[in-house]
Amino acid sequence: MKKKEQEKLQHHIEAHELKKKKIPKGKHLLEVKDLKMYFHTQDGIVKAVDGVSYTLDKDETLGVVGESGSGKSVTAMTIMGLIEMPPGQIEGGDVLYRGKSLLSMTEKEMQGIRGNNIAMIFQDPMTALNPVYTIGRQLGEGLRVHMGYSRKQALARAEELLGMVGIPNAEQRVKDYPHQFSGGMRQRAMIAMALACDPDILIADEPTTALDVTIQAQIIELMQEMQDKNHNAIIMITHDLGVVADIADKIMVMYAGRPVEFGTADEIFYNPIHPYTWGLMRSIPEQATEEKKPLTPISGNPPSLVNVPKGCSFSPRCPYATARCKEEEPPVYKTESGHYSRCFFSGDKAFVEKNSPRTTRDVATGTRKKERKPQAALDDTTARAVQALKESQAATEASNTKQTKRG
Amino acid sequence: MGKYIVKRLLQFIPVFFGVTLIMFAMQNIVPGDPVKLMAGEKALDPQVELNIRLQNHLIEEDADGKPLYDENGNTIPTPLWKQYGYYINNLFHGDLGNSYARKLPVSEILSEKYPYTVRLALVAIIIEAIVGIGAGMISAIKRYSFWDVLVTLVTAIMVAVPAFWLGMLLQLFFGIFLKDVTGGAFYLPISGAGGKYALFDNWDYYILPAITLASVSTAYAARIMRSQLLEVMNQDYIRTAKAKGLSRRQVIVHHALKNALIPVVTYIGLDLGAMLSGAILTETVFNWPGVGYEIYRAITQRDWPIVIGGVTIIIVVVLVINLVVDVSYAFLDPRIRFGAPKDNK
Ligand SMILES: Nc1ncnc2c1ncn2[C@@H]1O[C@H](COP(=O)(O)OP(=O)(O)OP(=O)(O)O)[C@@H](O)[C@H]1O
Ligand code: SF4
Ligand SMILES: [Mg+2]
Repeated sequence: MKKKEQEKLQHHIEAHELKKKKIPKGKHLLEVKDLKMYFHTQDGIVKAVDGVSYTLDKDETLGVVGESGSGKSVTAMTIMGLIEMPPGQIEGGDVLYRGKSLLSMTEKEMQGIRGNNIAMIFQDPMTALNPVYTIGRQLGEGLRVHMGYSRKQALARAEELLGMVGIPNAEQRVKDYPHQFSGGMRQRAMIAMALACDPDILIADEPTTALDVTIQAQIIELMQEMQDKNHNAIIMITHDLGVVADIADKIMVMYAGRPVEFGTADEIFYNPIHPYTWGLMRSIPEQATEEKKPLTPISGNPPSLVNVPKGCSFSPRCPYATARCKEEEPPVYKTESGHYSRCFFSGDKAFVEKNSPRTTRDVATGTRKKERKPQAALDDTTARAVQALKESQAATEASNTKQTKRG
Repeated sequence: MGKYIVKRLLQFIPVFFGVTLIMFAMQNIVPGDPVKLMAGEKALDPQVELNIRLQNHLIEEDADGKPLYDENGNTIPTPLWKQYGYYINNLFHGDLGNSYARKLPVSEILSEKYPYTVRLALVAIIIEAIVGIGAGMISAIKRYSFWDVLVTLVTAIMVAVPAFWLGMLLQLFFGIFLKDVTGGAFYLPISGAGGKYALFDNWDYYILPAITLASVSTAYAARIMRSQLLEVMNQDYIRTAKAKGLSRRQVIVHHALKNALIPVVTYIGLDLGAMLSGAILTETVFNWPGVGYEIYRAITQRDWPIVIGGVTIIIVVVLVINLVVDVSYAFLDPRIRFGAPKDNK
């Protein structure tokens, strides 16, 4: 009996041990190496993720940007081991978490990792919560699975977590059902749920797309605040370069299942070297106004991932495409800082200088980062003011919900 | 929750009057003079006929219960709205009239028959719930496996086979081919059963009629369960549950089942209502002494009070069952319990 119990918990114990383990020298918290995830469908092979590589360390935020269908979600889900296989299949590469390969783990071992070491929140908070259970129960579920909390302990902790993400009157709110929460509150609850077990990595898949603009900013801020406290890494997936501008340390721009440009936020914003990144930047509204040019969306549509164009996959839409671009695949151009790009002309300084968008934008890069101080360092008055501000925001949100209810 | 039930109960009132009005209208539309039908073959003495008409409030009477006459010396038919008033009044006093053929109060006949129908329905619904939900679950969880194919195939056949024919096949098989093996158990003799002395207290007798009665709806329940579970497994909140580190089993048991069950429970509940209305085909094939068979017999004999009384009772039962189903639905689905914001316009 005892032994059976032990066996049942083994994968959780291993996951906890792995979380505590020091990261081996030369390794990273998360290292994705040339990851390839293909779907074998009736229409052919969908190369949803085709050679994604990056590294991520504690306290870092990686922004993953790209148009719809560029493989951002599939990349994240592959790391989490949430892709159904079949139809999905890993065609190569590896994902190392604290030096250990996630891809070679069994489903059982992955269950120990999910929610405990790596947690994920999803795009649409309206559908991501189970409608028939209370928020409290869903919040506490991870704790019960990974930490062995009793129902009561889990509920008490759920209450704390809910308060922590700025939901007023948490002791009452844990008893609510998802439909009684507004969209913003649900996403806060999702964040609380993801952070319940204090994960190393938080993957946020377009966490603000379904929310209105004011709430978006609050959610992003909340995620940063939590990061300051917990020192977790964040992978922020979005199709809006503007969203990651202020918070990402590193940015990966994806196109048709591939990273076309990867670098630090400063590099991507001040010195982008891939035409697709330029296109994305020109379609950020504020950017366009500063340039005093009309918004210039990228023309055309993303390619089908079954038939990725020959040569450079961006060539059919690239304003600088040459005959060579349509024949040959551009090699990876990499600077010594690790900034890389897949374009024949990325190394051509004159070309980049001439065509890249002028970044007069005093890219926030800095702004947010410099502001980011540990919570404790804030002097008392500021802390109180921030707290009050947050409360009033949350209260407005709460009354908004009430209004929708009544209205 | 309490408010919700009260609200639903109040909705009964218009439905009840609507239904009784229809029933009453039917009573007056069916061809034939009711008094003649009551009398059957015999010719009636005019005085007796007059008394019957008075008793049934078909003609106007004075304060002493004597018939009123117009200037031509004819009796005056009671206006229909007044007759409806008498009918409702009687209904509230549990008086459904008397059977033409049996000369007994309809309420007495029905209360004797109803327990058989109820017990048969309960056995059938238990079979339906266990087999239907179970098969649907296996089918969905082991999708495209041998079991899934089997369930899909068998349910397709079950839906296609009419209940009365299945009943006959079962009788033939268990009652005649396997007579020596079963020792006559399970077999409900076609002649004589349902008569005064037939014993239905033996549970063996319930098996074949219950299977027959449950067959089609069990197949539907299995199919609904399968498709619901598969649909729920594609929902975002299932992905959330997986992302929390729950095992597949936990995901199914704790997150998918309750959501998938909501429509299935509704279906089975409404089906119970249908079964409690007396399964005319099954009861007739098995000579089952329930209301379904009784109504069938009453129709063939033009015994309208039984038909109308029976249908009235059935409607009340169905209404109550629907209420119970809706309440349990609300119990399963908090969005209904508390009212979703968007519904409270
Ligand atoms: N189960 C699957 N079977 C086949 N193709 C799939 C499957 N899941 C995803 N894909 C394909 O993989 C590609 C990448 O999808 P993904 O969801 O990662 O895009 P995304 O970048 O997250 O887009 P969005 O911004 O719209 O969320 C899409 O073309 C999609 O059709
Ligand atoms: S390789 Fe050619 S087509 Fe591709 S992005 Fe560079 S210039 Fe454009
Ligand atoms: Mg996506």
